[in-house]
Amino acid sequence: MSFDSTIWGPIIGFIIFLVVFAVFSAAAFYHCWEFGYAGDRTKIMMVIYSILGLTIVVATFLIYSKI
Amino acid sequence: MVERVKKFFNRKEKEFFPGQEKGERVIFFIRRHPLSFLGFIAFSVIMIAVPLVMYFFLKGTTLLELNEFGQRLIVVIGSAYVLFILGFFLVGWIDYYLDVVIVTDSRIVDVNQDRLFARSIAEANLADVEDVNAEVKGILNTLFHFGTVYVQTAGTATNFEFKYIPHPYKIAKMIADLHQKAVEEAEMREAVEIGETIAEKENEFNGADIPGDKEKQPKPEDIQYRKGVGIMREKREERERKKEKKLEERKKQYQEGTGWPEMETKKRTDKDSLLKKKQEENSFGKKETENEDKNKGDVGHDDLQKGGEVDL
Repeated sequence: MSFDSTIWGPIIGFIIFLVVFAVFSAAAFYHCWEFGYAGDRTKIMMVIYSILGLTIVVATFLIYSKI
Repeated sequence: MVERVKKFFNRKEKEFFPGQEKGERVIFFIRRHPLSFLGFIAFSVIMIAVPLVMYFFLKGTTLLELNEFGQRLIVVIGSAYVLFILGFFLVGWIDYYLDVVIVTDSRIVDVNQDRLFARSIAEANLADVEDVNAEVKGILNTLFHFGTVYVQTAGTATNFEFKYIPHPYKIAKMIADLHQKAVEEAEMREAVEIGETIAEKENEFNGADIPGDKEKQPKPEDIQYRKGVGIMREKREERERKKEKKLEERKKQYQEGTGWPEMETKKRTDKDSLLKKKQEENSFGKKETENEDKNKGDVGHDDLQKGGEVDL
């Protein structure tokens, strides 16, 4: 099994980006969690953001696999 | 499972805002007007729209006829781009949403979130407030009723400039009213303390066994209490005289053409120094009974916890 850089190259780059993105998102979530106020919408925003983010990532992998 | 979800969204176990003192009642808290966030939303939409428009124009050309590698690269870059905008939007939203002004029954707290990892909290006692001004400037501000509220405080205390505040005139009036109330309450407390001290001294002089003798403590109808009130009245009059003198000076400056003196630059303190300051204040010994009295009037706190903002 040989390493095909045309297949693995973009996806490895994307995974590295995802790691950075996850760290960044964790920092943003920390702010929402720690500095949010009682009864505010920070948690709702966290849920919406997570759903949107995961949808984009899953869709990317699905589209990528079909090419 | 349902309980867990409820617990996740329920913050009632926490204090209303970080650094809130026990028994401190939140009168109102305000965020910037949503229109102040409009520019950010527009920018995000444009960022999303630009590649779509480009795709629309390039669709008919040979530029989009890519091989497999090119297609994969486009998918990955496009996805990363959308995720980047999503993160960018979240940071902008945090910047907007966590920027608040909280007015409690004793102080004004200005929390300023500047993107991630940059947060400052400034506060001032309501009794230290000197001037409160509101300004509405511009078409959008006038149509949607938002503007700037300036709060100038006495001495070295922090001055505030709250931008994009909804209903600035109402807010300014509320702060001025709360300041008046805080001053009156402080005077009352001081009057009682002076009255108590006078009573102690007089009773010591008369050989009575005091302090601790509750029956001999001053009441509003007592002469010692009235003495305390009298002293406080003199102090208040002196303060009023000083205020008038200061106003006269400012009018004079204005007439001479030097204009109104500008507000001092806003000084912010970090959370640690604020906590330190609070601890120092507490070390002087606030009476617990005062806190209990405050709790009795805690009407709007639950409502605030539910709704977040006061409907003005």
